[in-house]
Amino acid sequence: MKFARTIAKNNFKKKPLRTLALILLVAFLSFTAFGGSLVILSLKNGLDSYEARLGADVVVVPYQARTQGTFESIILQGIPGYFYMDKSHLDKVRAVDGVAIASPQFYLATVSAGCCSVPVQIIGFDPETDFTIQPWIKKSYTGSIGEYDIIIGADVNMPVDGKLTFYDKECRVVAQLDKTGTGLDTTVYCNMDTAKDLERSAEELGFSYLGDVPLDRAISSVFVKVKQGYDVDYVTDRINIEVRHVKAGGAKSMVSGVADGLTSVSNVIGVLIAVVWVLCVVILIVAFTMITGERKKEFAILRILGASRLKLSLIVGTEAALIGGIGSLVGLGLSLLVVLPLGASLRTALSLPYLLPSVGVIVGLALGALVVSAVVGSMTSLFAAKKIAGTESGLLIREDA
Amino acid sequence: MHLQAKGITKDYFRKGRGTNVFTALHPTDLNVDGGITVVVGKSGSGKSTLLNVLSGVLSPTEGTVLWDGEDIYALSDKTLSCLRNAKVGIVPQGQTGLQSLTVKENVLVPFYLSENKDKQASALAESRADELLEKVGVSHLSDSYPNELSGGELRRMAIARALLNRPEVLFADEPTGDLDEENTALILRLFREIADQGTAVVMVTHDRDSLSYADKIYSMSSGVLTVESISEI
Repeated sequence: MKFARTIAKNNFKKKPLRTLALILLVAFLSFTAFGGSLVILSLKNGLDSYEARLGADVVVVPYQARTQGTFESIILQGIPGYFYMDKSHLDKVRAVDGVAIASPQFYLATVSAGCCSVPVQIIGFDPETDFTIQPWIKKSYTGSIGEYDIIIGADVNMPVDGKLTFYDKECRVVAQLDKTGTGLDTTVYCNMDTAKDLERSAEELGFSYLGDVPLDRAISSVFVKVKQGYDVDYVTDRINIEVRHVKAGGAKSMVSGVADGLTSVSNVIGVLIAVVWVLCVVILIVAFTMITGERKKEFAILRILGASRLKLSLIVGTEAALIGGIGSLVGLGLSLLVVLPLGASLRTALSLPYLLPSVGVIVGLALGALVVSAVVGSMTSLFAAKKIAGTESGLLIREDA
Repeated sequence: MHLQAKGITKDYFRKGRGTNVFTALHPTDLNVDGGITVVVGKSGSGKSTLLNVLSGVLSPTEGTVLWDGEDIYALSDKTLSCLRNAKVGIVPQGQTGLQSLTVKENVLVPFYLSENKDKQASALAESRADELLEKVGVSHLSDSYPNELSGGELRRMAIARALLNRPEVLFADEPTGDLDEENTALILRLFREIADQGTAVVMVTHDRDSLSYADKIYSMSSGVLTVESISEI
């Protein structure tokens, strides 16, 4: 209705502060709806990706690495670290009842020094037995991984075929993995031989990581797949009982620890969204009621001049819908400006996997938030409109006279 | 057009004043067929209540208002709103400009609210608005906003607005209240002109000058309507 739009637009011009305040309130609604949902969805997405990328039933690490949380900080937060144990533990793990495959990994942290291009986590895997990393690598690289060939995580800034130097050894990037939203995105993968060569070079340069474990016998972790029909908890317990100086943990239980953290964060965000929404809706209802009260005479005149209750509601509704639409768009824009660039900081701050959903999902979420905020913003005006439309215009004019 | 009020009364409910019910209009019968009907009386005598009940903006407590035999308060809100828009012109009490619209846009509001949306009708409404603003003497203010106008200018704008859709009945509540002598005469001559062209005018006023233009004169006191004189129409 053109007249309703004209009245609305002219009112906006005549009362810019009032209009701005209402737009900001609705913007706050869509900001929290979209921004909050995007954060929650990114956390869930990150957890799924983390769970999928871990890919093992049981992870075995040196006892101290688990108790000090070094393994989790490498995997989740991408803080480069290292820990070692003798590879005799691998044989012992393989001998445990229920273990189908046991594959060792070797961790090495590079440093911010002239010998290394970037400080990253290097994970060396055994191509013969690995069942967790190679399936992911095959998604982006199907060739063989030779000496000093590396596969980099999504956040390592180097094109394929580019060169990275670690401990004075030049490595060739052969592939880059998809993003996971975890510390694995800043990790560099290579085969076990390359990892050990780099370690040897580090030792030669004066970096001492290994302690008293000989390099040719050093491994960092063992990723285990249990035999079909075996309970993961049972195999985990058997490893902890039968193999000394290590700590085995169910990968799912590690994930569920993260999932618990994620649930808590999601619940807090959910409650904040609900609180903000309730507050904004109440404020909007009060604001529209006050504004409608202030404009009682204007509405009475429109009724006198022939506006039906429905038409009057349409006029009020059009104004509210315009405010709702503009406010929602502003909120969405602000959300995108704030939430997207802060993804990495959020991951660090929350210590949880954080992976933005696909563009399609983000667009869908944005449209949903836009519609919900605009509709809720508009609906709040209807209480006031209904009250005014239900009062006889003769009485409204009389009250005002 | 024949407007007939039969036994209409209006009670208002008041809070915290001893008795809760105040009768503003005692049982009243009135017929309006044309010409100029003037109701005079003191403030608070019930004149505006009578006008509002007759014009379809305030339902009576008892009684009926018949428009060509049809009870207007039995009509649906949409039908009654259409009737007000198309056949009734109302000049309400006080300043009634819509602040966000210019003077001309204010005058055009009855057209905007009508169902008629074609371009030709729109052009006719625009030219009718210009003509009416000219007639009431505020055409030079057509692009101004109500807050830039004096009380008298706003009254004349409201009169032009009430006449836009060529109503069958014009209800005017103190139409000359804020006007000087010259403009009072201008408006009363305009009322006479439209009454002669077939629009019935019902006006409530304190202004004794308007009596010389009246075809029927009533007086109102404490909610009771009394016939003062009826001239030949």
